[in-house]
Amino acid sequence: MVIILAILTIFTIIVIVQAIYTTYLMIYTWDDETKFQEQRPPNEFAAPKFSFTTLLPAKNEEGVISQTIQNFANLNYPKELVEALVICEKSDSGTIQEAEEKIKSLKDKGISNITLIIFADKPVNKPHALNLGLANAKGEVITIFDAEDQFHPDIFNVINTIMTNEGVRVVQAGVQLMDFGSHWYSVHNVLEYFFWFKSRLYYHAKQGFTTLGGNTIFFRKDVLEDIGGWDENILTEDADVGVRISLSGYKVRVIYGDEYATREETPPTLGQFIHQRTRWSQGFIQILKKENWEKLSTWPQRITAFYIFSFPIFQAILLSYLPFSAYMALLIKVPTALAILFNVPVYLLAAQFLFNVIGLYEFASIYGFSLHFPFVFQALVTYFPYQWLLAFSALRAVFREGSRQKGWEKTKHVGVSRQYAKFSAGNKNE
Amino acid sequence: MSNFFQDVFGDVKKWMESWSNRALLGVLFISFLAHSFNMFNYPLYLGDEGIYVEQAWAVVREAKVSPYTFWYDHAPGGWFLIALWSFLTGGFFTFGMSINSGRIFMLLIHLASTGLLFQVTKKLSGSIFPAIIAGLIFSLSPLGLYYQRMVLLDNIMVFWILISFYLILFENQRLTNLILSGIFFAVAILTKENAIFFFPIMIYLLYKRKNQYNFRFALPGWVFSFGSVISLYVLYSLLKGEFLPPNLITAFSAPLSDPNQRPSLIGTFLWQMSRSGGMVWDSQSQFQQYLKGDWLFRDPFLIVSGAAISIINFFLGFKYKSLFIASIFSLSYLIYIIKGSVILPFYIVPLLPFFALNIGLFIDKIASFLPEIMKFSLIGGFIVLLAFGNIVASRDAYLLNLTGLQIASFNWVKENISPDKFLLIDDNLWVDFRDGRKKYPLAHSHWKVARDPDVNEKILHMNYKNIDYLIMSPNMAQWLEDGTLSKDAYNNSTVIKTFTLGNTTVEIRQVQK
Repeated sequence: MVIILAILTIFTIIVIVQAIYTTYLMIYTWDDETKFQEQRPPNEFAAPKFSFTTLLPAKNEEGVISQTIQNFANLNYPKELVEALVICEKSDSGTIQEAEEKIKSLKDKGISNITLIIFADKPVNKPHALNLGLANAKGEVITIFDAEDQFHPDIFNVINTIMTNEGVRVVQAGVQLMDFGSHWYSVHNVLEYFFWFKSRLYYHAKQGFTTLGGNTIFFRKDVLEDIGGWDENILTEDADVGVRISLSGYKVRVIYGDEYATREETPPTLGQFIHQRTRWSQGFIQILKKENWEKLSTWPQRITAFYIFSFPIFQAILLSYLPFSAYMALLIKVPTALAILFNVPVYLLAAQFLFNVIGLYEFASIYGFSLHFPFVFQALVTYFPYQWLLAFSALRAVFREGSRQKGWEKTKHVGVSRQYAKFSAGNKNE
Repeated sequence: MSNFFQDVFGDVKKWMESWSNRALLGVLFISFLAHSFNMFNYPLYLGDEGIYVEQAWAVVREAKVSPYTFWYDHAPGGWFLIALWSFLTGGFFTFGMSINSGRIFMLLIHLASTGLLFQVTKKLSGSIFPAIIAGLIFSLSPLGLYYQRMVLLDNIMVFWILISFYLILFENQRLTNLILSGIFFAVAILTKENAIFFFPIMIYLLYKRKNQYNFRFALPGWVFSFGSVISLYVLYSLLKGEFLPPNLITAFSAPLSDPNQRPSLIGTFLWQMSRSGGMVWDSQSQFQQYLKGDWLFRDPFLIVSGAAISIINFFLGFKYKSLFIASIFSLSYLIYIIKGSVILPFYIVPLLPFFALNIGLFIDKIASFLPEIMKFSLIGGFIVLLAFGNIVASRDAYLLNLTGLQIASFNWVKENISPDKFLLIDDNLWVDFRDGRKKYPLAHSHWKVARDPDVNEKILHMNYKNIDYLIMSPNMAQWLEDGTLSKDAYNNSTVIKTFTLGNTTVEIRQVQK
């Protein structure tokens, strides 16, 4: 019994430290005004200087690709300084046909800086498509957008200004899921993005190590060439690039301007959501196994990396531990001081829960949505099922990685976010 | 390593360049001298001091919140801290008698509180002079000197209130500081519950930040961290099965008065709520008695001017926000003191820093209307008069040795009474009797002999003749209640030794069998 209590105590202390850290990261950007202002984009734009290549990897995106190309054509940046490469696999005839038609119609209007690249070699995945794009890119700055993304017309002006003024070579700008009311899990997914891009990524970048998002990420081309492009064997190529960029000593600048965040949608079905989350978790486990994060230069960086990439495993252990902890709490008599200690994680969970609700109001106020109490109540009720969903996906990832199933479970997109929120921002260059 | 010291030396030198920091150091130095000089000798070791030290002793030695049945009279935050202090400084006897160790800790708490009060006053006024005035009033007041040297929960509570206030007032932008402020405020309440009377002010101060970029997180974050820490106490009582009284009908009766009624958090709370110290206009009320017999007697200047200026500041506060904030701190606690609750003389302690704050700000405001030369004369004259007056009024605190009497009686007992005897004692020497070089395992507090069934039933079998000696510290006789074993033992005992200094007496009595 004493041994079990000792193990439980140590485990509880680890959970407490982890929960305090996670909670702190959630509110990091709101902690003081300097940080809050630092992660905001510039108010004035510099004159266009850098040329951009936008990579648009697409697979089975016939429903949304045409609009994405149109969004690119609408960018407020000199046309001679931008190009887009739409990259498709040969068998994806639906997307290829839609893209070709759209490119032709734009060409008829005099817009000819969009090229379609079709590939037939393996593997058929996003990092492979990106490497092809990189090989064909002419711009000084490479960026990625996913087919369903709705990006701000001034996003290139923002990045051009930061790269010009600050001399940074890698910039991650905000990405925001918008369709918070479309499924029961959407609101939680939306809030995860909100806290991740607005607060946590910014903290990680300050630490000198950060994973990167899958889109709205801007690299100077020579940085990508220096690190050898994307790893085609990793399911989360974006996070992996983050490790290698930090290893090569490049600083990453993270910004989140509410109005400039790239808008996306949550996965359309629960199954798709689990697939997506499993893929991310499995990708993190793969990076953990790759071990190059161990070569990061400082201990805080290594600990941060280990913390991020081992999180799925930690989550899986936590789910397995839950029935046991319930048994201990309800049926075993322990000394009062220990019983209080075992309850502390519950408080920290409640704190995260509270900050999520506040985050929801903050999100709604920023993006101009109104919230009704039944909806907030529903979000409260579904908070724990959502956590279990994440833990289940993490368990699934551990299982898949253990049984060497490494296929890409791609997320479907239907363009919900485009109904949810339109950009209202004007053009600052006009 | 030498670089490290050079850096530290450089930082200290830079810090000292500021006049404000020099003034702060000066005030702290005076405060240190005033509170440390003769602190082990004056005032008398009070029973309440002993209670907190003995509960801290139980935390360290027995991993319990009290050596006796804990009945939720106070939350244990204060003596947890004393326990930590004793643990870190090598036990309870590092500085001689056990209460001395607590008094050293009180000195540090007082210095920290003075520093915080200085900074808060400076922030509210934007000037150093009112901060010096407030710091000196707080440190030199004879009333403050008397109670702040004692090991009292109120002193610890004042420190937590001031740091919580400081964090809200100062670090304007940081959310983590506000969350810490909420935690510290909860610790203040878990140290001494009457800190709750400052709660509305804290909420008001937070609400004033409503236009700040992080307000959405700030207020709920403060309330949540505050509530979480407070709820640990409730959780403790729940885990112990002592949250609700087993019998609601007798819930209002005094805790431990009914042997079948185990103590409970709610039971004690209801009982406390049902007690009254007498209405303010009643000349027999505790408020009037302590006001006339203790507070005005020890420091008429601070009591009268502090209360009056707090009221004036409240009205001036409609024009000057900082005066308003200072005044509501005084007034809200003043309402608690006069509203008729059961109080003790040292319940005045939390008012002292806020009276000092109000006086400091008020004089600065008056001075601001005067020409420069008159302004400095006024402030300088006030500081000199204040320091001189207070030092003269506090001469007992610097010159008298009262505790020598208690120590002499303690030593006499050790030399003349066998350790297997049952001693009825005041709490002030409890730890020294129980855990000194010669231990008296049957030394028990007179309160517990009177009220705790664990003592009077299980050890004494409800027979006063099982008590051997009474060590009667000054004023202890007045607390012995009729119908209790303590009083029975007193009535059937004879004096075998007396220690006297002026009109202060310690008696050793032997029970007639």
